[in-house]
Amino acid sequence: MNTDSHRPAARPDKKPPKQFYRTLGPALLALAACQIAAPAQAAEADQFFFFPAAAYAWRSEDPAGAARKREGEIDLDLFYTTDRGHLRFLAEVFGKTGGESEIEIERLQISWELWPGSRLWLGRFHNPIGYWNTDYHHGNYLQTTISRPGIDAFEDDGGVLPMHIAGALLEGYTALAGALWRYDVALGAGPEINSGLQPVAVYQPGVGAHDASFTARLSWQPKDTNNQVGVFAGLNLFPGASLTPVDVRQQLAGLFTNWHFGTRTDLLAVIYFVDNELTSPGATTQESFRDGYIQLEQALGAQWIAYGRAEGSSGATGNAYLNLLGGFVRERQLIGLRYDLAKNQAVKAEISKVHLLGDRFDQINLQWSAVYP
Amino acid sequence: MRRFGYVALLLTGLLVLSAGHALAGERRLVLVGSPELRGLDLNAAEIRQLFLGYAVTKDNHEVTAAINKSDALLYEVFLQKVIFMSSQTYERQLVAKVFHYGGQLPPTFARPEELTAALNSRPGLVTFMWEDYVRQLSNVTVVNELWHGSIE
Repeated sequence: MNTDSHRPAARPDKKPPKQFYRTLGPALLALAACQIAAPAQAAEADQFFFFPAAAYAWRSEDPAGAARKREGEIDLDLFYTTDRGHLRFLAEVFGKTGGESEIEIERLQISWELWPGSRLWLGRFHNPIGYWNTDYHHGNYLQTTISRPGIDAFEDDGGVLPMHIAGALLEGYTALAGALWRYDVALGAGPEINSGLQPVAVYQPGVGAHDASFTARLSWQPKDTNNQVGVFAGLNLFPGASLTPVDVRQQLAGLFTNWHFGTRTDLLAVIYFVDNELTSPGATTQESFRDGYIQLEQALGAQWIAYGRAEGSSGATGNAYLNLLGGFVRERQLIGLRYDLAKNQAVKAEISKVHLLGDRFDQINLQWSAVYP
Repeated sequence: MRRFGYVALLLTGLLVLSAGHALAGERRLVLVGSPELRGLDLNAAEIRQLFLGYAVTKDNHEVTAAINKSDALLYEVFLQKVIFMSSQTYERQLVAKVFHYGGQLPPTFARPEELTAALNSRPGLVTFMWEDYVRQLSNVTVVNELWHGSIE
């Protein structure tokens, strides 16, 4: 959510009313569509979700170029999926009003079931990189915390890795030796660099220069538990636009685990190793950085969850690629509390210390989020 | 000798009473389906996979799960002893799975007669029930035992 964005460009002091209404209008239309579509769920092949959220962020400093000191935001994420025999269609549309109003088709995919548990998808999808991007998507309610880890930030929130790809995705799972193995292989057009990473826009597929992105991920879920351990790797080519005449060849790899200790304590840990080769007219540089986070969640009774997360990186200072994009969260420590109001609503509060590449500040985030129906 | 007999009688009575109490408190949670699924032996990992919203293919049956919410205690015991999650976490996981892969949430039934009808009309559908309740039904079969024990 944008109240967590530290992207330099996000500094509109006053939102032009036109832009606000341009965003609000479709959001209200989408909301109305939800109300109309909800009874259609009687058809069992269809599934519809609607994730609203309202958030407020306060920052101790207003570092030059960073987002505003106080910021409110209303989000709406609409999700629809349907099955027709072996065919499956899936769409996710995300809209927000606040610092930077937008409505975007985040996922638009169609798949064919190759065999039970395995599908070949075509379209724009979330890159199966790390853990966060494909387990929470844009549904704020589903993630325990308010903020996403900096390394998993979406492209338009100052992200430095390709979170959306347009192309083909082989996705599936198989039970083997008493464990569930999940696999993903993605190949398609990744983002271009144009004052930030710009993924392929569904409504403007021909706009921008997009090169290949490839990601593979394998995870292991032992026996009858919900624990997961996984590895992933990727190769991305980011062409630079005229404003940013730098082409980047990015190789990355990483490990993740989501481990449950009993029924009350969860641990999520991810580490990324990223190598970048930057080519600009007359010069080529190679750099690498590492980034990771560890998040601990402790259930306190049935409705409360206390959590904390530490994010850190090495090799980020002076990294030309990260400087090119700006707003990268180099380090963050946060603690928070989540209260599940009802079966489908949550209120969360978070306090964090944020260290961007050039600035440090404290931040308080509050959020209400829900899922309907 | 007569005194020994009284003591033995007393002890036997206490034993019977305590055993009776334990048996009265003991319940069995079972996985049930239509009679075609008799003998389908699902392991713990497959059962967990089913109730997390994934289909399981075994012995030429494509098995899917339905959630039985006709009895609050039954659902609570299922969550605690089979799924090992709170209801909020479990239901969040089900939504997250559909949000990730597409597909549908497992069907949920609040009325036992509708659930029983669904078990017979949808091939491969299974759910969880108390075994003593299943004994009253003629058209469903026990596939696996999920848990047994006494409920405090």
